[in-house]
Amino acid sequence: MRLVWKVLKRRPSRLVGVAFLLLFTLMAIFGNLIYSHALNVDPNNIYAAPSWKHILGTDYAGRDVWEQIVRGSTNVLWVAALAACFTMALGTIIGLAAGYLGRVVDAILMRITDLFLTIPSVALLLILAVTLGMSNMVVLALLLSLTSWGGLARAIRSMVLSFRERSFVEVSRGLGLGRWHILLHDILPNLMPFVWTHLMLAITGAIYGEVGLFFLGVVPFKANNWGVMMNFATGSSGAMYSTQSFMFLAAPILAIVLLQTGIVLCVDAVNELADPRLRSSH
Amino acid sequence: MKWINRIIMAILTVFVVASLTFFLVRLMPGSPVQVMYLELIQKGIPANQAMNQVNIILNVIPNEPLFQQYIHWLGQIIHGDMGQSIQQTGVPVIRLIFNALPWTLITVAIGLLISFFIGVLLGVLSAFVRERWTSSLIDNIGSVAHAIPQFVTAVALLYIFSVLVHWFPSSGAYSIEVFPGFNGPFIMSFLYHMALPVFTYVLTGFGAWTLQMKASTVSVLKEDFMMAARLRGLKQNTIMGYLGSNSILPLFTGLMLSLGAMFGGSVFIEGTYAFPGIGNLLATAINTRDYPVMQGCFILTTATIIFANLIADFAYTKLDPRITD
Repeated sequence: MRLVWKVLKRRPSRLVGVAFLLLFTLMAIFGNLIYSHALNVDPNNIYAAPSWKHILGTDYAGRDVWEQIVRGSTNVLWVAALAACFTMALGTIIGLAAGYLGRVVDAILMRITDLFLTIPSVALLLILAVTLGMSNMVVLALLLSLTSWGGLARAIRSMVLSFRERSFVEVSRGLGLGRWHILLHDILPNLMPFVWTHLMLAITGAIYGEVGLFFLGVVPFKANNWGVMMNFATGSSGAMYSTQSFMFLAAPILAIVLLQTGIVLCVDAVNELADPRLRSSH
Repeated sequence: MKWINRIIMAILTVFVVASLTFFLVRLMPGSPVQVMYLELIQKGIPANQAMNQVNIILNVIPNEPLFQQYIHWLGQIIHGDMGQSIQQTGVPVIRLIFNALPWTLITVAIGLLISFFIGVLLGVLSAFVRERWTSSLIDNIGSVAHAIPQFVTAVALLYIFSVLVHWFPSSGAYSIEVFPGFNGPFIMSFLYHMALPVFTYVLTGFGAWTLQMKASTVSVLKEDFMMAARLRGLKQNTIMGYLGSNSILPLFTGLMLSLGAMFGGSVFIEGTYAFPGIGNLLATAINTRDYPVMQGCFILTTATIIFANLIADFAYTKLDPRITD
């Protein structure tokens, strides 16, 4: 814990990032507990200006914007975290297999990886989302990871290929340790800093894909997602073209920007925490 | 010989992608082929006429076994027939795509070049002032700009520049008063309409280039030949030339790979600005479940990217003297 604090306070940008992240995580965890009742529709209060009762004003149906943001955060963060974990698992396993299981496996897996890297992932995601249909959030997370593991697998593979030739692996091999032992005890720990750092980037990628799907209105609407809010603000409600609805449009935009900024600012702190070599150099 | 292999690989990849889209649409629950066929039957159209109509639109004869459907469909694709749009009755998919593709190619190319240029400049700057706060500021701006989704930037820019202050138009690729063609007013109008989409590509794109260029420059700065050049007392300009040409090289492969992301982003950007490019076409096709258009857009953009990559690889071997075939 003290180590975390020490790493964080080295740069002010990291503190800012962690603050944003904490804020959104708290929102995601406790949001549904605070606002457990249904959203109030209040026709007398359409596009109300920000006030004490409605911190961010109200939308086209008189619903509280702040409340929608808080409720939406649960969905956004949950799917993003899940998708990022799937991406990590897929990318790491495929990368390890390609780098370590010999030439044939390598050639086949890398062809597939190349294929996924060249296909425009957003287009693939959209088509998969439409044809398969989105029944629940886990499926959505799986689809998001299916279109984004390529870069990680490639990087892991090339790292494995270089680690294989290093002397510490050479030593383990000389000691007669098994292939799996070497893979799990010598190579994988060396990859972990990279994997952890990439996890953060995968979260930003998943947020992009997920909110984008909702923004385009491809996935069946489950209310309370920032993408759905943006979709309504720019599309059907016409809120975009009436200046009084500024908060309704700006709130989800701001939420996404702050969340992504928070994650990105934390990336180098995570890198430093995961990699003891970086820490000792300071 | 190597290049023939690469070209065969590229063609194979396009083939695999095309086949995947075929089976994806065919094997999903509630296949559009069956849905469409049954709809036509319900309207009271005789069975073989309905089958004929499905064949024209989707390139598939519903009652045939799946494998024969596939062969039939592939044959049509090879002849450049991708079926017809479901929504715009009677319009061939290929024509819709070729009407849309030029707009996207031009905006994506201009956006990519500008963001690449800005990114490279900022990256070199950040590498040179490595230890100072400006460097960390540039890095943070770069990664934040990279992490903010295109549609967020697009909506924000649209709101600021065409709703609040009416500086730029909110939709279309040219105004209705000009005639498309190679004439002054049309080009001016196009540039004017293109400004916001291109600006969005640049704002969301330059961050990644900044980070890559910085990493590349930092690693080249550590190379022995840079030290040697400095020790020999070469002029600063010459050293900068070495540095620039060596650190920009790895970015060129990324340039073509990023095309995929740009095309993906065009779904959001063109959708937001109602710009009549391929991204917009795909977005509308997806929202209206227009399967032939969806397949066509997907296959053609993927093919474009794959061949762009091929050209990039070829150019790379020419640019980098260390690589020999």
